[in-house]
Amino acid sequence: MLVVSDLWARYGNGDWILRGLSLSLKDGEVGLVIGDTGSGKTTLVKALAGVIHLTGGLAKGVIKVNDTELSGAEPRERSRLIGVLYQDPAIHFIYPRVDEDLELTAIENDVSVNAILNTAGLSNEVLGKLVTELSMGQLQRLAIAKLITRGVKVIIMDEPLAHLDQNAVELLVTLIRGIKRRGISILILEHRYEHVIGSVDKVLQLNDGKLSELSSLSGLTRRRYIIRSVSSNTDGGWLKLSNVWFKYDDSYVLRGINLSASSSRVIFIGPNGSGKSTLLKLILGVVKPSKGKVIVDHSHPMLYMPQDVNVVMSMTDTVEELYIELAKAAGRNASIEDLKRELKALEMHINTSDDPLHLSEGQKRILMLTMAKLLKPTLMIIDEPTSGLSSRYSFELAEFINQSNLRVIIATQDLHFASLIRDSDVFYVKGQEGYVAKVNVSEYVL
Amino acid sequence: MFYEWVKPVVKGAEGLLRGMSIIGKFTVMLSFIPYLASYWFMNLTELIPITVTGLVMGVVYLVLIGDSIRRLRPLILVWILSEATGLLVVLMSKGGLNFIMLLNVTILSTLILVLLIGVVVSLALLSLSEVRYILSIMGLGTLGESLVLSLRYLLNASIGMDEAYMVLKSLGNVKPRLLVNSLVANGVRYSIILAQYIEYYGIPSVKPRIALRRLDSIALIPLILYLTLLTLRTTLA
Repeated sequence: MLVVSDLWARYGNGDWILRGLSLSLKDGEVGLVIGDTGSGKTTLVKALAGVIHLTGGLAKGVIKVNDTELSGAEPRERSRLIGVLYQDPAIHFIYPRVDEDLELTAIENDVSVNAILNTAGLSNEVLGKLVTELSMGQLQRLAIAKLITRGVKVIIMDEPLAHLDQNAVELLVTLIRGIKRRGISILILEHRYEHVIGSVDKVLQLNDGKLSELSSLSGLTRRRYIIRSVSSNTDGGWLKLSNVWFKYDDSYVLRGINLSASSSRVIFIGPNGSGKSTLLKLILGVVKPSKGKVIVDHSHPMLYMPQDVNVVMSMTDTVEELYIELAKAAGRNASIEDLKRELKALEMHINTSDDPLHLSEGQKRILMLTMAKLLKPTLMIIDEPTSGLSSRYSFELAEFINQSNLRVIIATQDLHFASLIRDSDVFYVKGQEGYVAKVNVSEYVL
Repeated sequence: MFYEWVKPVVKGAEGLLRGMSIIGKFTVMLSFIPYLASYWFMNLTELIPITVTGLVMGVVYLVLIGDSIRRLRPLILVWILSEATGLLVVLMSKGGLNFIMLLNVTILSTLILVLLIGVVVSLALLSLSEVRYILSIMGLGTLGESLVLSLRYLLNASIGMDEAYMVLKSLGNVKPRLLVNSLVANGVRYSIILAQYIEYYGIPSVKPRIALRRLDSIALIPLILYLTLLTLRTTLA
């Protein structure tokens, strides 16, 4: 049982982000916290875990798990009671090899590695692999299994669905139901709540630093998507892949892919590991196909926007410098005034002398797109643009792409986002099976 | 790209041999030492079967632990360098280069390669937790933890570098300064996240298996073969 009362948190001498927040979860109860980007969800996780001081923060209030008061308790002591599932589940694996990490956890907690795998619903095929070779869904289920092995009473999940495809979401939901049956309380902080809403006992809105329980779920949107195959014209088009094969190490991720796109907006959808990102790399020309041809009608500069935009945001110390450097690399002229004007028009309150790494995830992506608009690349390639973004920012991103006349290729598993992009060629990809189909994604609000 | 280079280093050995005890893993390296040592007390004719046997054994080990081509690449570079150095020394000496000297240099370079293969195989077989344990009993616990975190960071950084490279490549101009900035600043960001995790959960640490296993006897094969060749040499003499 988790009881939190009068919890306050802030960073440095800034304003209080959590303002006397209270919540309670009974044994086996599942609570869902919803709130916009920047509403304080991550701060809540850090405050509950007692690690907010590591990022210059301060938290005060009462946190009790099964009547044990946690304020003043060392983080290591807390971790035996409250398990935190981080947004990036790979962080739960300190050792790069999965088997080594699991073996150490198993020995520490006097269980077998197989018991951990069973809890995660995975076979021993994952053993012997690196953390980077597992899918997000597999890593997440293993990380949860490790928490259960530690005997935690409460699990806090920080945006657990951010990187998952539909299949992985369903497996996670099944695992959540299993945890609930064990009597472990769960607090989920999530944007894409419609996938878990059927498994939660209470929904809490985080607003103005406080949580309020929603008495009715009627205000929450639930969506379903239908993917229909549409006829595909393989002739012509500015993007053409003919019998493309590609392999990593010894296994093929793409087997004989054929497709042709004529719309200026191309979207690849499909499950995790279906080869969407590999397609982007082939189109960019940073890897070559093992067999077949990739024909793209483009010239430099293009602009690739990776899933983790922080790799770009960390290239310079200020937003201004970043824009200037990217413009130089692209061989374009750049004016800071233009950037400021565009950001103002979007009502983005970004100080261009600030460190780009200090922006919110949504702001970073919008900034990247704004710079793309000004740099006028011949082609923009975006990998998972909505990962970790609230629906408001996802919508803004989609609108941005719809209104721009950029030629764009997007790889995403976010069907909501795919359905928002107008006049696009959408391809459903299952690369390992050599399957690709031109489709139409329709959204139905229930 | 960067990740493809880092991956085999971080991943270590694969397959059956991974199940050896820590003693077996060290024995692999030790069992190749006599091959190099032979150079100083055997003549060239005797060294030829020793060198060939050692090389074949080394390559078999490399194949067994996987990623053999990637691991062999830098080793071959070392072989070329030692061969070239040897030839240079011979050329600069008064004797001049002839077939015997060429064979001599080649055998020495190859024996060095055999020993290096033993070192590479042993290191690949050792798991990080075992290395950390060894360092901790040597009183270098902090170094062990740093090693674990460095390799974890290296793995993450290589993926970040690949992504940053792709961004710049797409623009048409890969500026090394921006790549390095990205590596450093993104690395600091990742370290903060990792520090939060470690502060909360700690780094798992346990004593590795010390008890000998049947599999460990594989590590003795190069040694047994060497002793057989040595016995044959003595008998024939």
